[in-house]
Parts: sequence; C-alpha cells; structure tokens
Amino acid sequence: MKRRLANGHLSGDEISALLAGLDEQGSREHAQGCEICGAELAKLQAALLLVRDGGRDWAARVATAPVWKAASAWESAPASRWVVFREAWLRPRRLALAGVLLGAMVVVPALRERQFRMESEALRVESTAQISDAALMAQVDLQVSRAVPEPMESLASLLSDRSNGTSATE
Amino acid sequence: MQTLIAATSPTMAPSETITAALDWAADFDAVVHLYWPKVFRFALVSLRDRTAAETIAQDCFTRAWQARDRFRGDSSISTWLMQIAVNLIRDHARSRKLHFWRMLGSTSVDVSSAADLLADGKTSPEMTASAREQLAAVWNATASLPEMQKTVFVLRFVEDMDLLEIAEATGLREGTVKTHLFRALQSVRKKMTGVGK
Repeated sequence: MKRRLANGHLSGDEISALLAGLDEQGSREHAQGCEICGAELAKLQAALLLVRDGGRDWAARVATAPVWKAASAWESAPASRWVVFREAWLRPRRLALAGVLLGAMVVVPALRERQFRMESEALRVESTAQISDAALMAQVDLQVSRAVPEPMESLASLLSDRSNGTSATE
Repeated sequence: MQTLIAATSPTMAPSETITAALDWAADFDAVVHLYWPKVFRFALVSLRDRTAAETIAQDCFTRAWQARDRFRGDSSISTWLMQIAVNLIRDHARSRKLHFWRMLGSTSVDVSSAADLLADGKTSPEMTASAREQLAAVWNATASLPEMQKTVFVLRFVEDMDLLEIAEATGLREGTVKTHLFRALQSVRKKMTGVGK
C-alpha cells in the first residue's frame, strides 16, 4: 500500500507505482489535476526518456553489422564447437549426467570405505599371524636350548640323582 | 506463400507484421537484419559490454534458427527473440558473477560514456549538465538493480515494450512484472533524489 503524503500530494512510491502500471488510488487523475505532482511525474518520465535515448544512441554508435550468414549457414555453423557439443549432446543429457555425478558422489566414498575396511582386516590377520609365529619360535628356542627333550627330563633327573647317591655311599 | 519480407512493411510495427507462416529458410536473413539492432541494444544496455552484447545477439539468432520448428506464432517474432535474449543475458550474468575476472579484458563502457551521448545543441549548458546528472543517476541506479528488475526496466523504458510483451518475454506474470518495475523505479527515484536541486 502506497500512502499519500500528509499534504495530499502523491508520495514517491505512488509516482513509481503509477509508472509501473500499479495505479491503485486514482494517482493518475490526481497527477493530471495537480501541478506539483504532475511536475514530479514529468521529471521522472523525462529522466527515463533520457535513459532510453541515451541507450539507443549508444547502441547505434557502437553497433556492428549483424554477423551475417546466409540462412543455410545458420544451420551448419553455430557459434563454436563447444556450443554444438553443449546444445546437441550436453544439454539433453544434463539430468543423466547429474544423476551419474550424484551416484558417483555416493558410490565412491562407499567403495573407499569398503577398501579401507578390507585393508584393516588384512593387516589385523597379518599381525595376529606374526604374533603366533613369534610365540612358536619362542617355544622352539626353549625346546632346543634344553639338555634333554622335555618328556625325558624326569628320567634324566632321576639318573642324575642316583649317580649322585652312589657316589655319596662310596 | 507469405514470406517475412513481403509481410514486413516499413510503416507497420514488426510485431504486427510477422505471421507464423514463415518460410524460414528464405526469411531468416531478413529476420536477422530486422531484429539484430533491437536484440543487440537490449543486450548492450543490460550488460554494458559491447563484446558480450555481440555474442548474445549472435547466440540469440543461432538459437532462434535451431529452434525455428518450435515457433508457433503464439507471440510475435520480436517477443520470441527477446525471450531467448532474456535467457541468454540471465545465463551470462550468472556466469559473469562467477568469473568476474573475465571482465578485466572486456570492452565495457562506463557510465560517463553513456552520459556523453546527451551532448546536443538544443539545450542550454545548464540544462545539459542537469540532464547529464539525471541520466547518470538513473544509469547508476539501474546498474545496481537485481537482475530481473534490471531486465524488466530495460524492456519497459529502453525497448518500449508493454507489460504483456514483457511478461511473455520474461515468462513472468503481468503482476510480477509490475512489481519488479515498481521496485526498480523506487530505486531509481531514490538515486535521483537530490540530483538537479
């Protein structure tokens, strides 16, 4: 709602609305009958005419001739190869391309996550195997370092005790 | 067959003369010659860049030729071409926002160049200076308008199109066109306040 000024003249918004085709409150009739508002409206219209004339003069001054081609040439020679590619191939397929890109954005991280998990699992299995290998080697070392094999240790110690006893009685 | 050339009379407005029954292959050259200045001017005033305006005009007619089978004559050729140009300018403006550095090497013409166009011998020096100020104020104000407001403003006040034609060219409702125009005029009027007093 564009409110009228307290003195009864058109507000700036009403003048803008009038020129924009939004004459809500009989602004046009008021402007036609009021010298002050009529002058205000004329001032804005004059500025707009200056812009129109200025723009047209400028365009006329810098305009070049149309990039002229015979009608048949328009079909075969668009602006560039990129334009041809864009219009004939890219634009009709842009939804499909967007879908592919979106899919790639979802699938690629998922594949990477899966690969990471597989690598972690392989690493874990490998390290577990290394630990059990080390334990086995420790056991082997222990067995090799014994004077007699472990099942014969009790017999060996018995014989050792007996030989010690005989020598004691002698 | 009624060709474009035969249908276009210098005494009639182009929008009144162009019919849907066009022999495109024969008449397209005439369409280009007839409407190139209008499309170029619209692009030039909207973008303020001569090179870009030429490119837009070229692309506009290329697209029109490629889409000629879809033209049913519901609107005039002029409005149809402006519709294509509006879309091209909107796309260009968007890409320019992203690649503003491209402008460094362009042939943009600044505000003062447009104000220089006012130089004529009909007015007193004081009036000319005042007119220049008014033009510069409006010109500056339109430069900073949002894209659609600027488009509607240029179509209305430079191209002299009526509200329905603008609605067709922009794909907006007539009421929305009026709203954009009202807001654009508000901005312009505020910039003009204090100028020339």
